[in-house]
Amino acid sequence: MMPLDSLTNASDEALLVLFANGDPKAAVVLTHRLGPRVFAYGFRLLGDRTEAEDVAQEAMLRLWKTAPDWRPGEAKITTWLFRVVSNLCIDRKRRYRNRPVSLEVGADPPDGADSVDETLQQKARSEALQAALLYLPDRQRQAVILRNIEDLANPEIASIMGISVEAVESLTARGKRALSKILNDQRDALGFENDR
Amino acid sequence: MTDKDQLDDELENFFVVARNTPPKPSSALSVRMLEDAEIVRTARVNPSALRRPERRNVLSEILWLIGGPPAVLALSAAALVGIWIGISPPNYMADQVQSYVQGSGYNETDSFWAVDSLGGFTVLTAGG
Repeated sequence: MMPLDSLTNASDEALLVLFANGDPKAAVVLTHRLGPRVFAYGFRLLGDRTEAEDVAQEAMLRLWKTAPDWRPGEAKITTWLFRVVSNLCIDRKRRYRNRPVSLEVGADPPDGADSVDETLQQKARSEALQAALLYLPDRQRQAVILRNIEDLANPEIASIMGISVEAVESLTARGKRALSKILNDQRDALGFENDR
Repeated sequence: MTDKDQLDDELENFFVVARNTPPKPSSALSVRMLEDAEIVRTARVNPSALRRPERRNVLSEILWLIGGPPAVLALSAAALVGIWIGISPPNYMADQVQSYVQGSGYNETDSFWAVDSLGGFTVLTAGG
């Protein structure tokens, strides 16, 4: 078994192979590296903390189970996980289609913010964006989050969503236009005049 | 700067905040994830360690109490032989019963233990 420190620099794939070979420390590193990212993506898609935690746990469980069958070099583990989370979220949204849209707050204000005003404004921005994202159609929301928040490249997003790169570009463009409109309507209420 | 560029810039400010302040999961979530990992890992390393005990119903418990499948087979065989003898008894047995029930040799003090169970072999014994 390798020491924990030496594992922190290992790639996701190497860690998954170690886990498949019975190394429990590899799971610790993978959980701390990928767990929060998987949760954040699920939360942005669903807007519900409890649901997002359930989805993240299920996605990681599937990763543990698939570890022995993982074929190195075929796909990035993060791409695979984002695809699993996307599918789980779509399933949940279909199941709870009639539920009211949640406007739950996800992020804490960042440490070291320059002033109370700035902290509050960042919190307001974060909440406003999350609320606006939930008004987008599912596919647009998914594409915008992956492109503009998770900062993934279009080919990787296309692989996650099972569509062409052109379709990704179209979805993100339409999604951003819709977001701009929603957020612009709220501009005065949220006090973002300073940005102009 | 066009209106479109300005809108893109403004939207990008929201995305920057979102990237810098990701929603954080509870600490309990990582505990749950690690518990799952350990269950999967243990099951793979030692498959029998986490095998759930087999659930048995009342009937199977009784069957196991009386000796399991061999005992059940033996009891079934004995029951079938009993039914078969009841339906189609051997000739010597019918003669014995008839003579005791209808004949003069029966009285209440006779013990069933005294019945000659080898009555059908009298010819053989008589012949030496």
